[in-house]
Amino acid sequence: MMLSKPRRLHLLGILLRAIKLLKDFLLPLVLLFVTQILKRGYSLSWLMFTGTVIILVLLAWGLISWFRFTFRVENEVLVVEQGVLIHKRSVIPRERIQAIDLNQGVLHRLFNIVSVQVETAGGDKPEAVLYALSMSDAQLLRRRLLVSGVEEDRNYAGDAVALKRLSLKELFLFGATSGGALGLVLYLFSGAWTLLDDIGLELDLQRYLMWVWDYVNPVYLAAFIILVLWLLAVLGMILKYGDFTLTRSGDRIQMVYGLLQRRQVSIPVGRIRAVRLVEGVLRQPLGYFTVHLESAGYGPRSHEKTLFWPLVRKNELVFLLNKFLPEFAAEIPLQPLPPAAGRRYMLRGFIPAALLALPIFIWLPWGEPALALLLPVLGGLWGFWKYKSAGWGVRGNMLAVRSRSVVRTTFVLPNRSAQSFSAECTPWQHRAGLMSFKMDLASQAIFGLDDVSSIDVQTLTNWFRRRKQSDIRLIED
Amino acid sequence: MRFEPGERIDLRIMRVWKISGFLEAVILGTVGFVIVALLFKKFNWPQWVPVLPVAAALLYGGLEVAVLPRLRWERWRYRISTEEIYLQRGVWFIKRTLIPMTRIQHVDTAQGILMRRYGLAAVNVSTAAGTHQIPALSEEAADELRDRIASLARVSDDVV
Repeated sequence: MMLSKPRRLHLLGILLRAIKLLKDFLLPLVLLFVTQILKRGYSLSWLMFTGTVIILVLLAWGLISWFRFTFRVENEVLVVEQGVLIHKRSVIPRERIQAIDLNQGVLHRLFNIVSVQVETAGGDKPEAVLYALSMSDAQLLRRRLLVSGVEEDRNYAGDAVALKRLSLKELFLFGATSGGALGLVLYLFSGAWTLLDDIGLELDLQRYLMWVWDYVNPVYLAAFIILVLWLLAVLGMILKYGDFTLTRSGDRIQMVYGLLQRRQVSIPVGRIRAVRLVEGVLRQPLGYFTVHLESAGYGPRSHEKTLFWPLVRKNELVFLLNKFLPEFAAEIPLQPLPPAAGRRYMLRGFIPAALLALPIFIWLPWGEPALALLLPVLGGLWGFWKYKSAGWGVRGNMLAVRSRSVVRTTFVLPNRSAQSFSAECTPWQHRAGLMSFKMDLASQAIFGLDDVSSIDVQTLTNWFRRRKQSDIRLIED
Repeated sequence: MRFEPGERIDLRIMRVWKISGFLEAVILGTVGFVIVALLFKKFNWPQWVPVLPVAAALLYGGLEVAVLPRLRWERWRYRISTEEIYLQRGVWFIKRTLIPMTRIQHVDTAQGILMRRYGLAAVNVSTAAGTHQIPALSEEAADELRDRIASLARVSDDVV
């Protein structure tokens, strides 16, 4: 097959484009139908006629945009031309391409075609999306466009290839303990509530609730609803991350996952700036980590693309990293913050909570005033929790920094990854001999710690500056 | 980071800071006063309430004109070595930043209207993660520094 001549996408692209268009215009179309039915009453012939016209228009548009869409590889450059009303031409040199990701939706999977996303270093969006390609074409394109010597896709049998699959048990645990599950529960709850409100079912709902109140124990009912929603959320996570497969071949890490929508993300190891270990509140007691990657190619918005491995036990973590990312596998002993920091962390939690509690205490005399006093106590405890979780460690050129907002996060990175290093101190911190430090990564992540002893900040500064042996002398001047 | 970097920024920036601080205070005071005065009419608040935003603006303006520019200028230091850029700033918080030359993506100079009036320019240093600024140098010094950083950054060009 030739790639140097302009080529069109798979014919199924016409259908996919039409469906995408239908999705984009679904809301106005539904509104149109509803208002028409309300105005003239239900008329089958009108419905049939309008429906046919809409489907034909969509298909025609899909056909035109499919016809307009061409791509070719010419002198190591990918050229994509597209657009019906506005003609767009993207020219992407091979060296600029960071990753070529393959995605499969449900329809894609039925016909074994893929949507190919070409990512470059800049921007949040993929540079080009070839929305329908046969699998063989997609593989060919990848081989042609990815920097040579890196990509040995099909060669799963080779020695250099490591492969790991997520077990069913771990997948279920991942879904069950995910914050996303909790979020979906809340979202569905609030969504259902406003929906009922919008339809005007308020009165009926009240009566219905009274009936439920009389006949069903509301605690059981609430528990039942939450359980159902939670199971739905777990199912959602399982569909999204099911069959998670991690491979490494040569200098490339590849994640493939999803039961309905199949995603394939591949990242060159050289682009990986840091490994981020996240311990959710529910997962930490069970001793499980989620591992994310900080990669220069993907912006902060493509959050999910950075998921490296959904769930791994503490004692298997080193093994996993050793096998797939030995560059980041160093075991770094962490040291806690000095005791003087503990009081400051507690105050930092206590003071805002107290400021919040004060007006509640004064102006809302109803209820239990002691409840308002609980708030600063909780704030202080939260601060103490953060203090206890914080820590940092250096080994060779690797640094680990651990901190907590609610979840506990540990960054592991080599010193070449940090773009800049800042140290900061207030007069109060100065008196206590403490400082704060901060680093930023090319992936736009910023992290650091408050209240590290100033001697340790000096150590960290030296670590950051240590690029060549000869540079150390600079620190003393 | 125990030692202060040696270079200072241009003294004339204090004028710019004073003028812009004054203008800011006037605008803040006026907007605050108008909003509070309108609310005051509506809600029958006590007499002294509309005075509050004016007093706050006076305090803010006083600090921005009389006190802070000097302190800010005193604290602002920088040093350019062949390996890195070292910045120090802050009046209350003292903040020190290191940017290795190898991380620098591009440098440029920038001037506002006030800055141009006094012949000053700022130097912006961008890394892949964000931009750092040296706020005020004379135009010639800024141009010279920009070119120097650019050439230093090019010399040591290993990773993004």
